[in-house]
Amino acid sequence: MRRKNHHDGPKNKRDMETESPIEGSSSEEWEAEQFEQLVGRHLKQWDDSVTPEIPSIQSLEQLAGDQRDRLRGRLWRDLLLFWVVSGMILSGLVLLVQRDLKLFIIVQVVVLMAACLFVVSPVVRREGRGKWTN
Amino acid sequence: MVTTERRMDDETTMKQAVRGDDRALAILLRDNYSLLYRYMLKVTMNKAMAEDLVQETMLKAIERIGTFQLRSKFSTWLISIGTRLYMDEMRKKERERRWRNAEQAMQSIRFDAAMRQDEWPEALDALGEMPYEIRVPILLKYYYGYAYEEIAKWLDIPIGTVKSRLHNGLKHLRKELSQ
Repeated sequence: MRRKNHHDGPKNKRDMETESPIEGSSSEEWEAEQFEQLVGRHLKQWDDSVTPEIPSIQSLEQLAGDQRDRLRGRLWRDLLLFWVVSGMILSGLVLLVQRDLKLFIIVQVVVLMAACLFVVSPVVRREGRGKWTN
Repeated sequence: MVTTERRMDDETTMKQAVRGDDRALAILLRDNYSLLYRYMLKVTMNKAMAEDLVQETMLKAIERIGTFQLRSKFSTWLISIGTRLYMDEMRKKERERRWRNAEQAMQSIRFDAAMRQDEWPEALDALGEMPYEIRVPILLKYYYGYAYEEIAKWLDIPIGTVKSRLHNGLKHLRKELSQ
């Protein structure tokens, strides 16, 4: 999958020590060439010598199926947890309305403000922005 | 002609995998296994960590295959997931401590090379000794040929930072290897 590959060995020490002569895209090419001279061919040789044990299609299919089952299970567990917690919160709020309306309004305002802050916070907006969708 | 057919096959397999076909996904994972393993090994310079990350990448790919939009090659998608997982792991202090014994990991890789009667060049030692924040962009740019924009997105850093890390990293390599 390598897109670029030049395999010239290191020419000599003086070549390695020279600084980038030009700016812009030529400098980029020069740096790529330097990389090839310094490490590129060694990496290629190492790459070729590494032969991982590739799992069979059956075992990967099994892995995919198991992982999907696990995720489905996790989703149901989360949904159940969501309904239980929601039920508890709603019951608490109903009790609060019946006992003290003023306190209920204060709680609602505080929760609304916290929710707004959470939604506009840059951390939330940045998180997961097209992270796994290439 | 053969290449075009192959590309169409790959595309069909990718579409099937995105639709939830486990067999198609298994084929894609198998076809890209070596590439992913070799990439993770070069990036981590640690066999045990590379194996862990390959497994985590595959699980993440299975989990997220529905969001894959076929805009890039499947291998590129896997590499982006693997890179993000590695950077996240390294950022977590506790995990970093766990993998701190980098020298031991390098020795294990050198030992494997010696068992295969391969020479272990100084250049790879120099690459292994670099901080991971510099080694990763160097490999992605100069060995795999990815664009600055892709690398910046995967590492979650500005393009200017990618460029300066590449420049400084290369300068460091030159200095180390000329001594």
